[in-house]
Amino acid sequence: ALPNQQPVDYPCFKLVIVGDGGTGKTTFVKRHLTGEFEKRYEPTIGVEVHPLDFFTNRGKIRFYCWDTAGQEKFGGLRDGYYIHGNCAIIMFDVTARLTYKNVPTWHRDLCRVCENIPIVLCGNKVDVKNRQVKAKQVTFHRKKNLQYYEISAKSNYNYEKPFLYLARKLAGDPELHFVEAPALAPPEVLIDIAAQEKHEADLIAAAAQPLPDDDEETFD
Amino acid sequence: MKGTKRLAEFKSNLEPNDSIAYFINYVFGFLNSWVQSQLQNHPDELWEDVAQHYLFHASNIMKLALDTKTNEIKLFQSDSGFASTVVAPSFPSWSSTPPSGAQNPFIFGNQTSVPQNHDASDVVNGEDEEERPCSPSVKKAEEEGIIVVHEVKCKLYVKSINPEDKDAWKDKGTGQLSIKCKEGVAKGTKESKPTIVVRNDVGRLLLNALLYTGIKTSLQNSIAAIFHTLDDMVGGNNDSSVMARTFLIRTKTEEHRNRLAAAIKEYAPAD
Repeated sequence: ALPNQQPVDYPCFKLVIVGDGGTGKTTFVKRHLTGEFEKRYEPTIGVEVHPLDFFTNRGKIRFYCWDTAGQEKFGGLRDGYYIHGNCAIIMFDVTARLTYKNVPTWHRDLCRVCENIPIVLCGNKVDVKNRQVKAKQVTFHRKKNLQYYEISAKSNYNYEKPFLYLARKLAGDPELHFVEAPALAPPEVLIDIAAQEKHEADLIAAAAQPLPDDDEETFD
Repeated sequence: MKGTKRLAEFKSNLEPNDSIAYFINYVFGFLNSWVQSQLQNHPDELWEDVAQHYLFHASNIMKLALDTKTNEIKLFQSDSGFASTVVAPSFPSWSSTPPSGAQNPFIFGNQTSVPQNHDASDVVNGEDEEERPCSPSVKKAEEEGIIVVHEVKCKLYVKSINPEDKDAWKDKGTGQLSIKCKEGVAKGTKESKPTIVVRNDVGRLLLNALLYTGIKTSLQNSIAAIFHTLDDMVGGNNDSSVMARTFLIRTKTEEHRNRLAAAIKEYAPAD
């Protein structure tokens, strides 16, 4: 689909991720991609496309995540990115009311290009104490027949649910579930004692290095 | 604007049997010649204006195209070959792929490389499951001849190999850690293949390595240890090389950490 990307022999779907700037689209994708939780805010320019693979009981699937710019001034081709989308995530930030108010606009623009694709509405940042949009106030998905999930890219709450829902819809199998990725036998190495000792010296130094700050909150 | 009128005329002159592809070809030809004429007639003007103009026309044309023959546009899209760049073209058990996935559900086949679990009785109804927020989304695979000797939830970091990185530790996410050994082989031997595996909540591997003789775990508020892993775990490339990297495992409490450290010591080969 894209330059420098190998075609794969399992089903691939184009997933379009939209929503206001700063709602956590890129952070959500990155969390799945590398496990990292990115605290810095760097607006996405145009679009970034990342392949994300999942193992299911129906086989491996890939979502090409089109992580689009939320900020209007960096919008690039805007709804030009939606074409041939197979499924979508609309993200808003439960700590910023305006981002929820803009959901209908994102939905309308999306549906103009992609009729009848499965869409998940995600209220992100539910780990934050001071919510501006309470779960009860989220009603848009009912009118439009979308699935809604409260998620937190920071605490990982429900972070796999949007993908599970979309995979089920796309497969037409409500009982599809993720399975453990096959683990190859781990590499067996002849340990080079000298090298290992050097590593171990590093280890002592490494352990002393601070973890990313305010990490306590992010773990469970 | 003149052009839009021309297109409207053109459109109204279309025979019902004319294909939308014909119309679109005409549009592209027209746009191209229009841009050329702008370039020729107004070489000194700012291109921003031209671009604005172009966009204005393009959106008008889009409207025209959309309110005619919407169905044909759909056909056009699925014939164009774009669709097959999104989906895997050679997948054997695929039904035809319409641009929208909801109506005709895709079928993807079973792949033998993935552990199967067909026991439907313990799968709850999809709707119900979605109501419960913390239902596990990953089915565990039972491996024959392998026993799990220790399990704990953890957060995993790997030490950056780029000295210029200002964050020494890279967050790999949270997941379930398990230490597995071969069943019926004396523990603490090389033959028992003691393996440490960390998987996240979608079943992806974060760490997959063997415990080895003389493994050192530095204990502070967490466990730091060196493991030998394939350098690209996520991509699963077969050609990736083995690397010794320093991982840091954090557990919820000190007690969990101490128990994990004891388990690593207990199951690592003694000599």
